[in-house]
Amino acid sequence: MVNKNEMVRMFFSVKGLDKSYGNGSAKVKVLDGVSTDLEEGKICVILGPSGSGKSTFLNVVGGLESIDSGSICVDGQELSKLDAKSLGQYRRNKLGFVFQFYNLIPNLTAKENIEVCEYLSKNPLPIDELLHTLGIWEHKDKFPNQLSGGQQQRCAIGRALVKNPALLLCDEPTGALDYKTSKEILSLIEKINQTYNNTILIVTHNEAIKHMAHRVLKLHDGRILTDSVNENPVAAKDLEW
Amino acid sequence: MKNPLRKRYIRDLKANKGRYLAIFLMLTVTIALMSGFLAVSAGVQKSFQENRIESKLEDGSFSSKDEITPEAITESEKLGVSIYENDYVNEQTNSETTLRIYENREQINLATVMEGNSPIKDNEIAVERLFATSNKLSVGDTLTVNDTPMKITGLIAVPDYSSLFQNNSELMMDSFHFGIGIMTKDVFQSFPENNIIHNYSYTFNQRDLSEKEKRTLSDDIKVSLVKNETQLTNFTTAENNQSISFIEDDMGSDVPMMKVFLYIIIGIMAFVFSIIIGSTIEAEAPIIGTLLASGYKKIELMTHYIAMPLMVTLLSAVIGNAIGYTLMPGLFKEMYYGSYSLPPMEVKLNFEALLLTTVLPIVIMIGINFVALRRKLSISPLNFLRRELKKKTNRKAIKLPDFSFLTRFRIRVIIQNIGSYITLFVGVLFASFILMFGLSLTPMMNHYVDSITQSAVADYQYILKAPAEAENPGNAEKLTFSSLETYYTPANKNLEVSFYGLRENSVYFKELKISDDEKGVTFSDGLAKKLKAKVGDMVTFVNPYTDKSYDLKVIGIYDYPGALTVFMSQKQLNTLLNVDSNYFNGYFSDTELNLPENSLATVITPEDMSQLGDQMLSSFEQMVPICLGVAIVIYLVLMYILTKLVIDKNALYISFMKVFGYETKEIRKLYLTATTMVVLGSLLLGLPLVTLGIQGSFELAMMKLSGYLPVYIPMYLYAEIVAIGMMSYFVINFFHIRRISKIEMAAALKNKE
Repeated sequence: MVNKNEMVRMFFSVKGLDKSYGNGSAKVKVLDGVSTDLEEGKICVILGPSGSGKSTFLNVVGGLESIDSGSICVDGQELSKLDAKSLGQYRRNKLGFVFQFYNLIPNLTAKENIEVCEYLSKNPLPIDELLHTLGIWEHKDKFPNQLSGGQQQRCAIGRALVKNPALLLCDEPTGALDYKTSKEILSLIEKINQTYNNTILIVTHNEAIKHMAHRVLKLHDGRILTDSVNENPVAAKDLEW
Repeated sequence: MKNPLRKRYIRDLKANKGRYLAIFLMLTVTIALMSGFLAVSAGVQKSFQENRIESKLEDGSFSSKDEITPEAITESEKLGVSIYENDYVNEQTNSETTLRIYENREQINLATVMEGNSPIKDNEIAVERLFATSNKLSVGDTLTVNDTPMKITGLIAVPDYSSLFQNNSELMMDSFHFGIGIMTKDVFQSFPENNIIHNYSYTFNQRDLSEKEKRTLSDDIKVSLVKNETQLTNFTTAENNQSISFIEDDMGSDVPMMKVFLYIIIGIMAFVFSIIIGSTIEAEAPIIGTLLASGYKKIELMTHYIAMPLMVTLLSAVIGNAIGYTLMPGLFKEMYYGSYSLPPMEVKLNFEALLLTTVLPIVIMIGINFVALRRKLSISPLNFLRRELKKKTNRKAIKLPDFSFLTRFRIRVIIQNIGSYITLFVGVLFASFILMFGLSLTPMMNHYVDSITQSAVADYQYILKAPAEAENPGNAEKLTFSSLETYYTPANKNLEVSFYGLRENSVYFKELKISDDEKGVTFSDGLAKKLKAKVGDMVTFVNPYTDKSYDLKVIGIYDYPGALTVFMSQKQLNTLLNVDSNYFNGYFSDTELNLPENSLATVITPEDMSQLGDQMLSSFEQMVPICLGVAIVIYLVLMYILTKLVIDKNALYISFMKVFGYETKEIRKLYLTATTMVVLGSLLLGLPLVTLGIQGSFELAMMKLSGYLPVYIPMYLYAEIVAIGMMSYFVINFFHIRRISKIEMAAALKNKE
């Protein structure tokens, strides 16, 4: 748990972020002068319609895509100055990814899928404990196609978490799930945040999710439309949509 | 309206050009080899059979100590045969070769002039083409025969020596040291009487006799000749004469062997295609589900997926046949004409070959893929949409032991790709077999020659026409030598076996305990292995010239490899042959003996053994690079296609792993090490199976040969095969490493399903 007396520090900050795809007349600017920051241990929800640049923003923070101009500093590291190998190390040591479509390796069991990322970490979380926390202990020896969507997403979260990453990036984590399961997954993310104090970025279309976040960014056409702080986040279990 | 799915073919070809190119090359090379081989062998067989009739090939021959009386010939001819004098002499040439010289024959076994002309003048000779090639002789050259220079006027092929065996009991043909020559009648008749072998050839008057009738009639001739007091020294039917029949036996087994080779390759490639299609179906499951839900019929999808293997096979068949009929005949002609004395041939379009190399591959390809596709497409559209491609999705995952994560991951990769890996194992096994066959030929021949050289008991072994005392006997030892025959069931023919009658306590066979009182014989281990005889067995031998049979008990087996020999006491053998107890017709000696020239039949020296080795190696050395090349191509193609499938299938997950922070070398450890383990395992596991296969094949091949060649595979060959296999894999691995490096994280980011 976070010690409230401890001084909070900025976990990441971006300044004047520009990113375009294509050339000439086909050039599309997907991030246009984006500047923001986020404190360590906070949940930030990024909202916006399709094509607003929210996934690109997530990929840039994740070190998966380069930027045209601006700066992006995560946990004291300036990403725009890192080469491909250092970016790999950055992802390996600091990040966890959760995707909309889980993307579990189909020929590995649930536990083995989590071990894929455990292998990368010098100090992984105890995997059995994690399986219990995720509520999939009894399904640990099943293949992904033998699990429900919610179970698969729990497994994917476990895979992202096992490294105990400083930053958890979630791209539409409930996009493929029903209402009940979505709430369960969001509660899990909330619980993780409280337990491990990870900084979490959630990209979503679902406006309701913003209520559980400490910080809400709304993107439109590659620009930040609103950047608000939520002083009293709602518990995920109480979200309604 | 044309099916719009057709547009995918070209795109699929472009996207997977490496894979399809490898399959195309493999099929094309196989079909080209096959069609070229079948066209040439059919052409050779045709011209060979026609030449046998045109050149009046004998149906059998016999030799006698002296000229046979006209009465004996007339009596035998009454049985329904025509007998022709066919005398010859064996003369040494200046190139230390033996030339068997006939007069220019006009009634039987006519020579076909391949180049130049028949001899007309006294100092002219025509020689057999293969002998000339092996000894670098050409028309116009001078060859000294028995100290007389003769001008070579022509190169010929003779039907009674399509295979150049000097003696019928020899294991190998030898065009380097033995050849045939023809001279004018006048020159031939000037050879001294002592040198002339009184040989006769016969033909059956009735040309449509069955094989059984031919054998019976030949036996009757033999009996008639013996009855008329002919002292036969040799009697051989064309069927049993290796010089005549060996090529047919050889081709008889070459053709089915090549066909089996074709079927195996096509079968393997059909399985490769079915695995590719299976993998494509897995990747395209939601698309297939959508198409089926939209009204596409399964048969339409089946036709779509089967079209690619069909097109690749068809194209391979067309191009393969074109190459087969244009470039390949030269290679195969060289193979046949480099081994046999054959008349000229023409390569013509062969209907059977065309059928085997076009229709059959297509049928195999469609058949195997149809069965595989029907199974794959048997699930419902909904299951395709849900990617539930296996009927039993709730089957429990195989629980793996508590190995390290890396090991378990690799095992999962192997389980995931078990179909590809099994096909790879079969392919590796097949290629290793070809490789071991090619690589084992030279050491096997060397080992054979070494072992018979080492087991040669004396530096000189003399076989005499009649007993003759040596002027300088020294430590020479007399022996009685004879040849008897025994029926060899696997080949359905009689086998000639040498009988050595030795004296008690022979100094040349110290390990062999021969006693005059023994009631039995000792077999050489070569003979025991060939006949699968063991101590205590009774074996029947027949004297082919008297038809007397003898039941002999095997009381021992003696280490005398390669030779088909029976050892017994001289006294016993003389009694068996019904000759005087002091009779002998040979010597073992460590020094050269002075013997009356006209008494000598054969001398065998260690030099003859090394000559035999040279000939054996030269006969097979052309096979070595062919086998090596074919095996490496199979290794490369199968390893490339099948192991690339593993990476292609997992490309998306490899992309995710990069997103998670895996480095390329770590991903290689996970995916490529699994494949490396399978390739190494296939090579190692294949070795005992390949060894069994080689042993079986050689035993089968040995059935048609008169001798016995022990299968010998030195240990280093196993290491060589694994090394060649692994080197081929590392070439492929290099491409895979590049492929893994090139997989981008974008694939993971774009994944929306």
